[in-house]
Amino acid sequence: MIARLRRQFDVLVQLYRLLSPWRRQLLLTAVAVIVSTAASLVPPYVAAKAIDDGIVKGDIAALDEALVVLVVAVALYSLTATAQTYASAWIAQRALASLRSRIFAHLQVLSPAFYDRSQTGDLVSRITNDVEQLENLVSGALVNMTGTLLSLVGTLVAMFVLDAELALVALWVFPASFVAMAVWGRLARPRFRHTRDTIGAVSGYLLETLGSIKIVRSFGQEQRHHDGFGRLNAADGQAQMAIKRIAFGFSGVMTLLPSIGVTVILIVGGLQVINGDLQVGVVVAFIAYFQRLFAPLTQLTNLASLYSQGGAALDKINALLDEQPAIVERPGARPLAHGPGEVRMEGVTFSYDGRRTVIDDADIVFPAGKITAIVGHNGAGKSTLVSLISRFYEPDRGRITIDGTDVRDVTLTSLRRAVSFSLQDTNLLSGTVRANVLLAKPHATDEELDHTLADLGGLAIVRRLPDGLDTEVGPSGDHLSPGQRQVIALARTILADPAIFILDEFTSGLDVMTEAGLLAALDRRLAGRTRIVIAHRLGMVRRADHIVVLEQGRVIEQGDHDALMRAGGAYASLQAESRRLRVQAA
Amino acid sequence: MKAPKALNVLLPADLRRVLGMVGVRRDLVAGTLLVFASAAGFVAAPWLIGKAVNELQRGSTESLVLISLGVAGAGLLTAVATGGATYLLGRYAVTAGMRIRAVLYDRLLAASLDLYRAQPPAQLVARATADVEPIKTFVSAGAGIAAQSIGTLVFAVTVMLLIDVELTALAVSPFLLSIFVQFHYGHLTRKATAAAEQQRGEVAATATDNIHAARLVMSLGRQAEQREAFDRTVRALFRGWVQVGKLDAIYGPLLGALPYVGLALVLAIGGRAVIDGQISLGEFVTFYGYSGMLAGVSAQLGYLTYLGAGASGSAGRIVELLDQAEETGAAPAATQAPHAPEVGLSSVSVARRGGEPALEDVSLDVRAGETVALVGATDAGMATLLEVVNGLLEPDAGTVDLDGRPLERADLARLRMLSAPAAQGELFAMTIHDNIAYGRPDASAAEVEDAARRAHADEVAARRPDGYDTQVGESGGQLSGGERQRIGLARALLVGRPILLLDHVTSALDPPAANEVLDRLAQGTTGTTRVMATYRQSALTLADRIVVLDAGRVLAVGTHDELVASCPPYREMVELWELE
Repeated sequence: MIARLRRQFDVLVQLYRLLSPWRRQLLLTAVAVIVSTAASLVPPYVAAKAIDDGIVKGDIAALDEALVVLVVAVALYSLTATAQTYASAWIAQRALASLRSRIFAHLQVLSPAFYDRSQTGDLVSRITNDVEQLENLVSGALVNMTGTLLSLVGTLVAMFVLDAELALVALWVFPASFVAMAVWGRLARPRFRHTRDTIGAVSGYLLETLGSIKIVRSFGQEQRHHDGFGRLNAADGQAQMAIKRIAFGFSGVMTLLPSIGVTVILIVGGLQVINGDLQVGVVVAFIAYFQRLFAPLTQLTNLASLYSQGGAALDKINALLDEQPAIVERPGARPLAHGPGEVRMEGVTFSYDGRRTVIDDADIVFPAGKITAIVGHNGAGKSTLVSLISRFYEPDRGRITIDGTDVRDVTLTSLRRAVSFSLQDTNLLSGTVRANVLLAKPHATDEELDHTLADLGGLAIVRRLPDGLDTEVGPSGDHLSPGQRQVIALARTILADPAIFILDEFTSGLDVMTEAGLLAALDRRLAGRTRIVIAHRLGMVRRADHIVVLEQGRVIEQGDHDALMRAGGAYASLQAESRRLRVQAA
Repeated sequence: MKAPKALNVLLPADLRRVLGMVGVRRDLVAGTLLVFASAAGFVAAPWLIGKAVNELQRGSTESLVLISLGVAGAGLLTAVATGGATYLLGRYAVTAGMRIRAVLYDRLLAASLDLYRAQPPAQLVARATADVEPIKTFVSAGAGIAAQSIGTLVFAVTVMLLIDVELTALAVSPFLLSIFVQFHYGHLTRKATAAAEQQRGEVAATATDNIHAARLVMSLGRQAEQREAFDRTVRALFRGWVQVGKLDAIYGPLLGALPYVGLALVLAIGGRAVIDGQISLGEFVTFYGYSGMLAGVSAQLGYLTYLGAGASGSAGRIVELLDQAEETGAAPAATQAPHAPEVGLSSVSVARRGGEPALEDVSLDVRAGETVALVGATDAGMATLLEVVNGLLEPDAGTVDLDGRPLERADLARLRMLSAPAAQGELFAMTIHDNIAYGRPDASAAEVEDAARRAHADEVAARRPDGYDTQVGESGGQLSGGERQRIGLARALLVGRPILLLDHVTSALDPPAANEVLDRLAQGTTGTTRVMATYRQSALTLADRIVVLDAGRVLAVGTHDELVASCPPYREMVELWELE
């Protein structure tokens, strides 16, 4: 119990911190809430006065006086309620907008290692769903609840002012309602949790089978999935019915309690009226106040679930914001100076998990302005090796320099702009072709774009798109073919004008003709740049100035093509294997 | 049972159609009747309280207690009826949700593939999950609210009219005004909310995009620009919700104040009527109680239109999908051809989504037992051609022959039973065994292992402690691309169909592994008709004939030597391969 209270207090403190930049607006809202709640309490009291002093006594002046008070109170209520509603919506949305921006900015500084172990859907959920849960808490709990609590307290005070004895008699409804709600909460919570699982299973099944519909259909498995879905759908239905069964009792009890309360007030208060101890209007007003108690009470039950959901969302958001970037700039880091682009690795050792070594004591020089190829089997560590150059990951031992400067001594932005990557799965952002290319060089002119695309043989490809450079590429470039995506990504890389170029399997999804065209264009545009190439196709490798053979993270051979072929080692056998079936085919 | 005619006027056509799939059930009828009963009990209270007040003035203790107990009795009736209605309408909603989902899913399983090209699976899933919820809420809460409101209104106004007609008119007029305001408010809010939700989609899409491409943005060093673009969407979302807040701020308090106008009128006019002796104090109190109740009804009706709008929006999307899914490839034929068939395409054309041709005037005979290789550039149409042979795609023009007889549209599905695709290795979140046995769930462990061996997938299982019982994770994410490819190949081999479709089956493998797969295929699938798409020369070892495709057209067909002699683009391709 105490732990729960402390937790709720903790959530409140965090919420306050979230909202604290708008203290003045909050204060204004608080004033508006107090005034509007107070004004809304006036009518039943005024009605009692009107009945007892005006109607029962036949005094029309007193009746009219009550009417004037009523009208003033209602006008005051409308004005302050308007102010309160608007201000609270503004503050809540303002705070959440800045929280969204903060989460996004934080995501940007986190390292690739973080993205490796996170799922995109999960991270997006922090910015959308979790922030919205908080929104419910902020606007629902903080603002409405303040009003609700105030009106609860105000109503109770009004009841005690009207008749303390009668108020005490009516109050038993409180503990009774709380017990009912507590029982409901205890019964319902695990059942609700269960439905989250069952509906999750339904969605997961839908996504998996509809996402692979071609497989389902080719293998004729429609009936199996019809049955499988039917089972999950029925399980979800049962889980939901389990809630409906207990809702039956709860909604009944919560309807019955007020009626019993009114009955008790009528009998106890009525007897007092008959004895002449109480006026009729007071009983009527009392009943009106009493009935008002229930709406806030049910809202309070919702508060508990808002609190637990909002608290859970806060935890998740905080966990993300507390995530420290694995790779940070050293204090006093300087921008990387422009140079010829020689990359040197000395005794570099790296492991993703601290247990299995992926790169083992690599000593490699990537000569400036030359092509270095890295070859090896699947899983030899080729991609990992090159991603260390940009400090996407940090070696456990050894150091990497560019033109003699340790990569850890330069600013991350300058380092990453100096080293560019072209990958097999190119990433485009949704938006137009132009926006994607301009990402590399925001102020490039259309002529520059055309020129770059033309060099890559991509101008015709772009012109064939429905809106040319203004064609929307779709999420992750979905609307384009792999060939089109690759050309656009390459144009972007070239415009970025990096000193060091890394081509990681970037043509393996392409046919040999498209590949040849792109390679020839790259030769023209990138002559004299440092290039590092990873490829399964050994044709590309043969033209390299320097070749590094990796096996299980170790460099086992280095040299140029002729030297390595003469040596007759791992490289020579890779070449032979790759030629074997091709020669057979021809 | 069909929905009664009266509902037709009130419910939008889409919602009616979706609810028609569920039908009017006993739960709905009984639940609605119970709500009427609960409304009667609810409305009885102010009337009884009024009676009690009159007894107070007469000083009759006995009647007071009796009437007060009547209030409790009415409460008990309301409670039982409300509880029962909650349960029955809830059960109706749950049944409705299950039924709608089941119908949708079956329709989607049979729908034409065009539907799947037009929208991502996540959107289809949303139709069957997120969009079902508003409809469920509408049928459970909505039916209750409608009955409760109508019941309360009818009972309350009847009692009021019996007391005083003029005073009733006065008390009801602010209520009518508030219904009008309520609808207007609802309309504006729905528009504003829809706009804000659109912005919310933008925020989510921008975030998704940037998270996907985090490494790219990092390596281009463009975090600041991307952050600015994201903040713009966040600001637009902020403005959208503040607009909604503004409407709430104007209309909410207005609607809150209107009932007090009614109260003021009752006090001013009704109070004078009591003083003049036209009505009793008790009747006045009843009136006072009812004018408060009417305010509740107006709010409830507003909520009902809100629920209705949500449900009909969802129903509209579901109906749209159902209509799109109407276009269906026929169910696969149960019979399996005993022999390897010949498949012929004549003048087949297929259009891409943008209208550009994916295949244009393609004619090709695939003879029983031969191996045909498709080569060409990335967008040449190889994958589309495989899907036509697989019976997944209906050509927009031209015919497909089976053993020399043209297939009717409805019979195209027979092709699916004759061919097995080894695609890029889309796997299900099951074990390696279950994935390989996907097309033949009854296959024995030995058969599965044999298929794995023939696809060079045995080592994938051998490398893991759980072997064939290893869970491959969502979309096979626990395996590498090359491993997924080989499992997918084993899955195709296990069903043992006469035509094997190989779509770049070695593209994610390094040369030694790729060669091993090709060797095993050469040995393990003799006699099977094989159609393969490839960018790699090594895969051509298996081919009897090679088809050169260019921009959806067949450029040439022949053996390697024939093509080298007669087809310049092919020769060019071979020269490039030789350079590798």
